Amino acid sequence: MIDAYFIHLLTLIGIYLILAISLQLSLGYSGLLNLGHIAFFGIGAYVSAILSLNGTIFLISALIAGIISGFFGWLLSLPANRLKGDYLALATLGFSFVVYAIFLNWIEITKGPFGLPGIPRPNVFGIDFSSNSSFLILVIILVLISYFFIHRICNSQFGKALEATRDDELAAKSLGKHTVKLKSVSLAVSAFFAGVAGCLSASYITFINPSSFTFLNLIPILLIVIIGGLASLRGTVLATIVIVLLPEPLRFIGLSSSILGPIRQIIFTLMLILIIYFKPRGFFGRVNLE
Amino acid sequence: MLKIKCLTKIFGGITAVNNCSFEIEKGKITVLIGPNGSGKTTIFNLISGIIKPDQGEIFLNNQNITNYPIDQISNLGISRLFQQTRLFKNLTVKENLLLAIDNDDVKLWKNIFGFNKITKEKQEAVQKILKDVGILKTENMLANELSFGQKRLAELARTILNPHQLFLLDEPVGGVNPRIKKNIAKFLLDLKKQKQTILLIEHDMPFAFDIADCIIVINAGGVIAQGTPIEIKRNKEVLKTYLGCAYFRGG
Repeated sequence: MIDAYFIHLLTLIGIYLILAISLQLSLGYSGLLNLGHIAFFGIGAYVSAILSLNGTIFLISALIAGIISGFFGWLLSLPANRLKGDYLALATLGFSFVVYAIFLNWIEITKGPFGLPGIPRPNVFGIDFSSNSSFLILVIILVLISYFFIHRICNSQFGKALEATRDDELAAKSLGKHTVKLKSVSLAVSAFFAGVAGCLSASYITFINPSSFTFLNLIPILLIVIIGGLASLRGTVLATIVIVLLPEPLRFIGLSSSILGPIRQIIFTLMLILIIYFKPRGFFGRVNLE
Repeated sequence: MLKIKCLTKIFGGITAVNNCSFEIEKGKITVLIGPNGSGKTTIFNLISGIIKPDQGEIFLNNQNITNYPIDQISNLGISRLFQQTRLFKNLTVKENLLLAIDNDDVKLWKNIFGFNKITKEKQEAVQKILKDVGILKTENMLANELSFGQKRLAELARTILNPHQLFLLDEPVGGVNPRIKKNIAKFLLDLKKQKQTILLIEHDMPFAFDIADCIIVINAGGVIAQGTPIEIKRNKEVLKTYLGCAYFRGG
């Protein structure tokens, strides 16, 4: 019983981790105030769910989910490249509402508010990942791959060029950097990994509906990025573990679920206030919140 | 080398640059002087593509670059130092300079698969230039932690490391202490010896007249005089514009 609970928590941490480090790429490293991340997560979840329900094997559907999410990330970067700061935040937020509305209303494909049940658990090269413990192994593998790629990107010269664009776009352009391309690629890669996380989430829970992809669901992920510290991957890892585990003890006090939800929100808010007050750069952040 | 033809830029009701034409020669230091608000920095912004002219054209080696985007103009070899420091403040000095060397860093795959390594040559180029401007010890410091003078030197180093055929330097010695000012002056003279082409904005008259091969005087967005330092010192129109300026009264 306790084992099953821990496996569930670790799986959750894994999925959140992919989401958070990919958001770190666009938000922390590139300075794009991207509030549309949850939409990419949703697009990945829906694409992979529909593909898996129609018999596509897991690896292919995960890849297609990532690519389609990445494509939408690139698409969103086209108008976003003309916007900065708060306006970019508004535009990406608007995008996430539009995507949510599509999930809700495109009933022929998404079944609207009823959602898509019965999404199969993955089966890769004949290895069955249907039990929770074997699924955790799959999650760990994908977390490692995602971390490897994003870490590699952030620590390469490409990552430095992203950071340069974040710090001073005009100066980066004056050194001959094609900053529009840099930002587009960053948003597309970030969305790709969010899509992969969406695919994992859909096949783990085996059911999705639009309410999992609202702006409210983005808040813990944003919180992870802020608490972990902008432009810090190890901070993100630590913050993911903290944020996922922090509200868990509440389960054992025996509160009713109608109180549990709001208390969780209060804890997150308190955490955010404390961090901004005492440690404005987060755990290991190198960049000030501006 | 760089030719500006009938350039005009109007901001609202103010004509910042008014039918301005001049040409600068290869291998020379040309200095733009003029009162505050005469349009010198606007001319720089027009050349580097940050703002677009309402009228007129800009040619680099007979190529019309008037409506090119900023990054393309930079890649054609116009390397600019801004009036305010514009270092990437969360990167180290070394990282700032490495970014200037080439543009392979915008290629994602090349970087993911490790084909864009920081080679020994690149590192040595960075160290050499830092040594030349005299701030080698700041190599691994964050740009944010530098003093104003050090920031200026680091940015000058970054501008020089950027592949170039023409430098646009907007007040390189503005606001730095006399010791650093001397460093920069010596450094610019070294560049001159290497036959580099430099276009400079400068308010410090003794400094400007010291290092210039050619001086262009700007007033109210237009050229009022162009010539060698000696010619400019004798020009009546210039004396009128700079009435009250001790350097001209004494000179």
